[in-house]
Amino acid sequence: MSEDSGYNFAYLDEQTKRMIRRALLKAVAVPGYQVPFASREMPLPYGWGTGGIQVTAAVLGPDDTLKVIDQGADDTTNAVSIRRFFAKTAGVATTTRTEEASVIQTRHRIPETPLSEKQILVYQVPIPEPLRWLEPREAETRALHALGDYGVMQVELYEDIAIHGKIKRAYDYPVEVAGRYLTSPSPIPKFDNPKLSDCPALQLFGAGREKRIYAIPPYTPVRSLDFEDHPFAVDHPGHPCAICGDTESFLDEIVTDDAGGRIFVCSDTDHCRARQEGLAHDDAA
Amino acid sequence: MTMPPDAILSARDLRFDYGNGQGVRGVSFDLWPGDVLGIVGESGSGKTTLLKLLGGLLAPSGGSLSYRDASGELLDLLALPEARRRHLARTELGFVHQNPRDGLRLAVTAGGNVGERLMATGGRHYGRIRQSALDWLTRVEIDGARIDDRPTQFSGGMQQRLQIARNLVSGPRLVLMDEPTGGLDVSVQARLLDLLRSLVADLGLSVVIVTHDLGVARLLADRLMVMQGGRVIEEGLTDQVLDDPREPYTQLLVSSVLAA
Amino acid sequence: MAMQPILSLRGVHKHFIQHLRGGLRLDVLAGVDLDLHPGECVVLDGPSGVGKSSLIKAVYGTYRVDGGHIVVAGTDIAVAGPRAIMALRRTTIGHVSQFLRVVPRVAALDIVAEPARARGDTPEVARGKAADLLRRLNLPEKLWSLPPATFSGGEQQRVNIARGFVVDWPLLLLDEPTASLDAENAAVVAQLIDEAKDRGTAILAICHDGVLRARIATRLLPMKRVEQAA
Repeated sequence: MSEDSGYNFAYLDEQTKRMIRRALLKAVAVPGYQVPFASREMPLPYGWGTGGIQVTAAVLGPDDTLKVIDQGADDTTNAVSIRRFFAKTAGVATTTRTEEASVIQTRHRIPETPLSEKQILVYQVPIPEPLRWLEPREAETRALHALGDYGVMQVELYEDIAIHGKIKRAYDYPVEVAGRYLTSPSPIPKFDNPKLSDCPALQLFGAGREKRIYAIPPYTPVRSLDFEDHPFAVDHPGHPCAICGDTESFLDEIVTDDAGGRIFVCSDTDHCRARQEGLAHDDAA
Repeated sequence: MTMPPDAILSARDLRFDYGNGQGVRGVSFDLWPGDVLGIVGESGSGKTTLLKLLGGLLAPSGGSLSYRDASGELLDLLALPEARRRHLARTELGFVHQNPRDGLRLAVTAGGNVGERLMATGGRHYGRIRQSALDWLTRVEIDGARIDDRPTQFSGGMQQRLQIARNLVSGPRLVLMDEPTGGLDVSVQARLLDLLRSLVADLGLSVVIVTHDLGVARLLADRLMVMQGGRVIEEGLTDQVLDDPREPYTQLLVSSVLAA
Repeated sequence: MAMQPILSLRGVHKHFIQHLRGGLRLDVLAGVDLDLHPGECVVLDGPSGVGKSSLIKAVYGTYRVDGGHIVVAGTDIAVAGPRAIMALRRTTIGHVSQFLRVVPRVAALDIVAEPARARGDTPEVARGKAADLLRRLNLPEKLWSLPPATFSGGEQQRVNIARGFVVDWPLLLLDEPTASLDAENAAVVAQLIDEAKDRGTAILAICHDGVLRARIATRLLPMKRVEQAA
């Protein structure tokens, strides 16, 4: 028990955490494969990150430092709530600085700051099955995974090019993990897809409602699906960040008035802050 | 089991029971390269069930089914691992459903439908896949300008031709067809029949075609099997069966049609 | 003759059992014997109903016989399986029936060329042969590219005859080849038959036209109505 909460450490009971850890071990052993697990009821609704929270709870230790981001930001409701939840139920240190965190729970982004071997990135996943929209039958999607039978996903990309002239899918862009399993990277922008591959950090994915866990172990090759003559490419926003001036980071569009005014700013708030501090430091020097 | 050395498909004592007395009750036959075998009979005679057994859409309760693949290897289709069976089904085999909606992806464009087999077998060059799709649409007499339309925008006859293109794009050796002209207008039927006839001849396909239409059987099939009550009651060359029917049921069948 | 017969019939029997008419038995062929040699033309002789067409169909394999032997180029059609008969039809036996079986949407020229293609000719060679025959049979060239479904009876029959003669068959079966032709085209057919005989084709024919028969027949095979079994 953490001293002041009345909950077991990190909310979940130890049996549940062991169950989840077994699923995680299997997921790490079979990169990209969706491992079923007995997802628990959590004190927040499905779709708010119950899968990610359970995975975080299962890997968190007393010495960890936790960072939670939602769409790249540390200060949105969801991120703040989850960070507080673990501060209260586990008593762990929290941070908004990517490089200080040992566990980062995320929704819809990978931090701009390169991750290290000492870090675990936990993704919240709404729909873990990349074939779900093409094949509604679970038994059949499992068979397709078992057989590595992924032509239908390629058909989906073909359709994009045929109709839109290019692969239009901008987020949750399907990947092949370690040359084997077709995997959903969760609804991160395809801008982040290259960071999935050969990443020094352990990447864990939890889908609470769908009761699935999967993983990309450190330094695993991850390939975004494409065609030889329509290779995977990241769209660059074409603007610098209006606050820190970065031309490389992923930007959010912010509408500033009712007259159509808008600015583009870094989606990763910690990255933007660090750059602003760096710029201020340079100015002072 | 014994399979003639030059046959492509051999069925021995194939059985399937729906549990209501209907089904297939022991059917045996051999099929050779370039051979077009028609299966005729009334509804409930077991002919479509037999076709589903041959195509792996149903698992038989007994009997054996052997196939000699393109490399000459003899395969026991009933014991084939699932991965191998699926690969075979999208390379060397084709299955044309009576209702094209059962054989097409309705939410996917014509080009995507035709290209699927190529992508499923490792095709990763968009331009080449699209060119193949275009070639095949032309061969089945669908205007190439419709390549990005969905099948739901096609007429029944076009849908059926699209389904055929989708099957033939991989260069199959054995194609199973279930009433391919059923449900189409007579003029549309004639066009499709002629198309099938020339494709089968040009490509040297082995075909098993189920039909209740003896005119279709006459036009397409070299040989016929007449089914009744789940059994083959008569077989032979198409003109033998239709012009010199021996079994009472076959005589009834033949006499019930106008100028087959 | 010293040569081996291309067709040999021994004791050929055929009857029909008409199940829809209470199992009525109809005997059509009983003990037919014949040896047909290369270059010969045997015309079946007898009034309607003696089984002439049935015999032609039995030799082609369409009617399955109930007794005897029909040996064509070493294969006994009386007992041969479908594939053996199909092979004979592709390589050895040509058949000109009374009526053309029309295939929708296939041009007259291609219908005629088809047997030659099936024997391995290239499309160009086969079409060339087909065009020569249609020209000799006076079928207007503007019809060649059309499907024969809308042709007159005489035009259809000329397509049918051309299809029969496009290949040098070892054995050719003719069932009333000139029934719907005028004298001029009938004479062309007679010529085609003469040329085929000269090339060594053996012909078994039904021909009611006395003039043509006298010209083409090497000999006649008299046929009589079969006594019906009790």
